[in-house]
Amino acid sequence: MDFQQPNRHKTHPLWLYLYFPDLFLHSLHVPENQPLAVLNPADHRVRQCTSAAIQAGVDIDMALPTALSLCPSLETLLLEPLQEQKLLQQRAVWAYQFSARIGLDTPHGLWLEVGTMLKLFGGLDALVEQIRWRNHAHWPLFVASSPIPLQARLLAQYQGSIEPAPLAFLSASQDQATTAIKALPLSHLLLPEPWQLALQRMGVKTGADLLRLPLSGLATRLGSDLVDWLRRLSGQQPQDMVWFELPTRFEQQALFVQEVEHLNGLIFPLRPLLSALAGFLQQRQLTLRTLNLTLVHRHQADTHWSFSFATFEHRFDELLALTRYRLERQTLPEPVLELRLLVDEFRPLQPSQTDSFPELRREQANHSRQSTPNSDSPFTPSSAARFERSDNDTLLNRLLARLEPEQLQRLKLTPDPRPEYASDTEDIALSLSASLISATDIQRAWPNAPLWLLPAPSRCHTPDATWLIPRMPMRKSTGWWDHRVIQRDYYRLDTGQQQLWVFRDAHNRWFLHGFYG
Amino acid sequence: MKLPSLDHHHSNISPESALTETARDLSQWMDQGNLWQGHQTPNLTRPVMSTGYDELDKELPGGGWQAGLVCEMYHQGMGAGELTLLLPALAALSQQSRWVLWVAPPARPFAPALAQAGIEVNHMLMVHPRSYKEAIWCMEEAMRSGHCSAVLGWLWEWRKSHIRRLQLAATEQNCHCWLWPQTGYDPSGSPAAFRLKVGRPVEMAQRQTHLQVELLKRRGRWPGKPFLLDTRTRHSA
Repeated sequence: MDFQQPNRHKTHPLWLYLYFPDLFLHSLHVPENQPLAVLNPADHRVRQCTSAAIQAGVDIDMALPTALSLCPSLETLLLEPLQEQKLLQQRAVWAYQFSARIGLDTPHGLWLEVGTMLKLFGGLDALVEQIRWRNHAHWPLFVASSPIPLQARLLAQYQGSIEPAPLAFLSASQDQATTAIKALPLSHLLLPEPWQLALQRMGVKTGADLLRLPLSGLATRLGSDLVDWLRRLSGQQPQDMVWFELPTRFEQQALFVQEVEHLNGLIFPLRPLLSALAGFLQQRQLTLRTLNLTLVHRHQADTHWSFSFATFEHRFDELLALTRYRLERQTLPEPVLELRLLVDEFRPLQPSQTDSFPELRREQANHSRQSTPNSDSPFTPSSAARFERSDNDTLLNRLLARLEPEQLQRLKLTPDPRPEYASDTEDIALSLSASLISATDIQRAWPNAPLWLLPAPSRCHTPDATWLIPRMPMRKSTGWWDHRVIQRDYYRLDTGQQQLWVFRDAHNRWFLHGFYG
Repeated sequence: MKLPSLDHHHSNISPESALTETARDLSQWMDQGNLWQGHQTPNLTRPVMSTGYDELDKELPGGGWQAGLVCEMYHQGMGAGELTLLLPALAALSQQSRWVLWVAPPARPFAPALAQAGIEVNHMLMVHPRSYKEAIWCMEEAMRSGHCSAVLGWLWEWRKSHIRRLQLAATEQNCHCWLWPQTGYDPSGSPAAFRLKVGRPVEMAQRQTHLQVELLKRRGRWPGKPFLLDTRTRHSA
């Protein structure tokens, strides 16, 4: 058999199964100590329940009256299969960072084809470590691998079903996986009741017994479904996969069992959503400028908040900070039952985005090209990257998240001879127009200029002649081209402590226009 | 500067309680930033930049502006030379591909004059906060972001706790920070590392060419005496 020495040039498929038990329950953000049961909508039996409920004696598949009599404070909720599917889709979007071939196994699992990814991640153990590290703590996760999809799934589910969970079955070789399967007791294979009974009657106790069954004669006795299952288990028949495809827009939600009454309570559930969003953006090399939040209330109509940023962004840290600042400026109209995050406008990530400091960007581009990508480069956390790419738009973005755009200005030098226009301010959203005015021109146009300019000249008394510094008057008689003509004689004025810039206009009126700061 | 003495108006109490009293006084002094300890000073591992004025460099511990330390500047009215003092430093800092943030400037900086002093005008970013709280937030955020070479602030309120926060933020990223408190000088002490007073000289003949500077507080040395600096001898920082 060539399983033991996998051919290095021809990568064999290797399946990693991610088992997320009780997705629906965990999506509710229930406090640890709250007994809660999720009921099967058809027969109202307990499908999933919190550890507090289990301690009170509630068990899976228990009828609701029994459960309530055991635990009177039990809260119940009907399972929503559609929501459950969405949750699994969300997990798949998240898992897309580890593999592009993902099979959906509703309601609780994902198959990831990772045989081709091992080299990138530096081996199976390193990959699984990344997965665990990146997985948000409130999603319990069990992982197992095998070249045969069904084996990986059984091993992962087995881990999830016993306490304490045994070590993960992580092996790239067929032999090891099969050995592990052989050791599994029949009762832990999560087979449908009739199959289990039929197999027990035949004396099957473990996985080893299962694999030893002569399949050809069993179809009539056990039904073709079970035989197909057994064929898939031994790898004689391929597993049918429902392949996951990345959606073209990003939409995720968080449901709350207890209504959220404060804005701070929204930050915590937003984190995993934004983290998934950042992963989504990274995989497709996209950036965004607008986030749409929908808050669902019990009585009132939904609240829609749309947060637009100054520049395009794709990093988790920044998205979180920006969203947080924006939230701080909002008020909650009513407690929130559900939070939805939707983004449907993207722009490809470009190294040369509209930038306040293009020269810096070039340096960084050179720098990043020199540094060779290492095994964990796709996972460089953005916080670590922040020091390398001192992205100056980040500051603008952060400030604009709290301020109005007109509160932020950049200074601009123009060749206009009128003081009001020579020192202009510019909207920061505009890209920078380099000033092409030479230093000698400035020197000639503005000898002895003050450092501060009043936005508009303010009328003042005729100054005491002894205060004027006589050797430096400057005549400005200009502005004919746009009918904002000025005719002024500027003086420097010394009041003892302060030195002011004043002028006399054609009507002999005096104005204060600046300070020699 | 006088230190709290052991026996001032507590002559009839036990030595232990006198000591606790002294300790409390001391911590109060430290809080106010009036006390510096030998082992704390001067941390010259910080980048130091010449002020561009030899007279001022001599007076500053380390021989110039130290990155990561807050400096408060006091003056009487606008036009007292309060910005002239900074021109060489801003000229040097603005060459970096980072912002120089002006928070709540009392008027518009006159771009031609800044350009004449060698300042890269395009890197000047101005914020007009609606409240004191917002001003402090902008300054902290800007310093922590690491995207500013310097943060300048004109604060119309002055609270020690906020100055301390700014001082911490400045230290974190080694950002330069200059403040022009619009509140007048509070002699009860400040967490800022430097406090200086700038104004025009009394001598009529020197008004155009000189500035009078006094270091009211400098971390690492005792306060100094007023001195004159010649703005014509300004050189690049």
